[in-house]
Amino acid sequence: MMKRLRIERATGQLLAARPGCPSTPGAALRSSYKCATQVAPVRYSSSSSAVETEPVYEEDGTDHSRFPPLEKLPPNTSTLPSPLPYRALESAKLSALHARLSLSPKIPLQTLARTLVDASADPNPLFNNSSLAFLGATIINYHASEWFMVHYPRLPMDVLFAAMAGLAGPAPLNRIAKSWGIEVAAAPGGEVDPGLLQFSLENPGESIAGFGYTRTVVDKINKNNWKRSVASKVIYDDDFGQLIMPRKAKESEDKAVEEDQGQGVYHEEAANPTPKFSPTSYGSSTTRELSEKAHANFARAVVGAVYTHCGRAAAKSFVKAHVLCRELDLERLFAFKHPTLELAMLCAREEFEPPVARLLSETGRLSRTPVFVVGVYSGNDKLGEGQGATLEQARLKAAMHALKAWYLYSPGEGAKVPSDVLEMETGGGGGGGGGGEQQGQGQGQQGKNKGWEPAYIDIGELISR
Amino acid sequence: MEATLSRPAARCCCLLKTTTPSTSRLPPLLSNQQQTRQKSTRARHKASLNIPPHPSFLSNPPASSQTGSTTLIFNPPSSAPSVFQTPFKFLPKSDPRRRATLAKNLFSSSVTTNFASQPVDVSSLPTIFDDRSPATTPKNHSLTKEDVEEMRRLRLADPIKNSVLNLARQFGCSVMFVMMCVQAGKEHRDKVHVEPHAAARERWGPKKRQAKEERKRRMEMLMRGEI
Repeated sequence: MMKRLRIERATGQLLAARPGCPSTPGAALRSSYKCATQVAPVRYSSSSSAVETEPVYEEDGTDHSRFPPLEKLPPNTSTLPSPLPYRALESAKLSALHARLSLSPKIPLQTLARTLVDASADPNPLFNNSSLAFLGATIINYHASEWFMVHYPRLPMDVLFAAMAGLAGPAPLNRIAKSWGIEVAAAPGGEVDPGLLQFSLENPGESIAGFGYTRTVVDKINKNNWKRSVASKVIYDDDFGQLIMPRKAKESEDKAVEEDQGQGVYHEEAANPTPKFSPTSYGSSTTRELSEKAHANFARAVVGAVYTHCGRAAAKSFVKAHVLCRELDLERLFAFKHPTLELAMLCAREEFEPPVARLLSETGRLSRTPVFVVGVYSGNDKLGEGQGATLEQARLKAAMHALKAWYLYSPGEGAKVPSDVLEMETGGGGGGGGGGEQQGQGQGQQGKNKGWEPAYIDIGELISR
Repeated sequence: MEATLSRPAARCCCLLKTTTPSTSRLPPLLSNQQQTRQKSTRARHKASLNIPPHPSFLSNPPASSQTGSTTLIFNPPSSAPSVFQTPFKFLPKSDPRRRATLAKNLFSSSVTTNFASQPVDVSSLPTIFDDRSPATTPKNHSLTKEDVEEMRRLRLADPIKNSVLNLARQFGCSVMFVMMCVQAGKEHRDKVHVEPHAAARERWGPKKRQAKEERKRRMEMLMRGEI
């Protein structure tokens, strides 16, 4: 499911922001206090004087005599797309966010400020969070998929895609980011507080969002509602089995570059690339989608920042604490078409006796509200039980119950995921975190770490869809 | 009569009876509304309600309880079983739970318990939809190419007489196998399955139409596990 990570590409320029003494949150508060004392007194003007004097308009059209700036800004700030990095040290919101997330002091405030700048606010990848978000997405999706593979080794691929989207997709990450107490800037710009999430509602920017390919027949799939096989979803589509929509090709050279790449990196773009609304009209589905995307990318970027400055173990525990700990009702992700047939196929594959439906108990057969309890037996073993108002309904429910009991088998909470091997090792072996979701990962390590046992993974799909 | 006088409603009736002169019409009215219970049915009702208590209440207290320690009785209320409790048969070979319950499942597996927690033999439980169950229909897995050709010929010659079910019975195979081997022509499908239903559907009124739609939606909800 996961593809190879290319971490060095994502974080090369980021290490320029050196973690050090002046950038720790406490120091930032002190420096901002100093700044506040050193700042020249803001020019206040009473209403009577405002009437007499001519209003002074800045280059952005703001009347600074009526709306005086809260802090002294360097010249030409409002022409910049995002706030300057050093202003991160003066933002109380950023320090509060740093403390609220219990981030390590190794993570400088400048990096945290950069995670809040969406690609739609600042198109320059040296200043926006797209590289960090890409890195964070790969880390989150890797940990989520290995957790599902080991803890629910028999999940069908469709359900696994849905479970991944329910745990690590844009919607849950949006909710996680909102639960961190992020406030949104009304509009991006150089003058906004660096502690606010900045994204543009006018120009949905392009950011690298993950691995995958744009299919050549994507238009026909959308138009004719073609069926996509599960295998092709694994190969072509993104980590949640969603179709990757093509980029709007603006120039032909852009298209040529895209074809040249061939690395399966796709770009994320809103469904409506040319919005027909003004930035003040909030609350439409498009703005909600843009907001969700920006919040999710921020959450991913924070994980990327944790990985960059604190390493693999810290990033894993951060993902565990914020993403994997959330509850997801896996039972409700299932929908069946022919449950009795599927159960018969399962019993044939596993060489069990064929399933037989038996009536366990009933009440009120001739009444208006009868209840039948039906059990599905394979030989003498009961596989599932269901109750319904008709015999047929009860039998279907019993078959579905048996299938869910099969698919949702779990070896227990204590099962070790492949990345636990890296923690068991005392030294070295840092680069191998990408691949192993199968048993092969464990077998090489087995001699050294007696605590590791290869995970049980089911042989595959019951029904090829 | 002394016993009925203690009930307030009965007293009202008695008052009516004494005050109004024309009481001859009232008693049959009241007696119609009252439930009658004969001696035989009362005994039967009582017997059916006489369910023995759960075995956990009947089991003898262990020897340690005589020394003063408490006994734990685990008797939860009946509820739908959870899908996260994997049946013994579905546990993989490597699972420690399989080893823990192996002996129990090997030696007492043909006996289950009913709602009153009494032991019941599994084979004595009635099966439902026997004709559709793959276990009870014996299958002939040695059909030759000639058999399949014959099956095709029969089905195409007279699809009404040689229905899928009849052919499955005749050749001793499953219905699914017959449908895999041969499909009746489109005109037969339209004549048997589409046209009569379409004609019947034309006659449906709004209530029936809505009821059918709701039934369909209920089935979809059932398949999604929502009801």
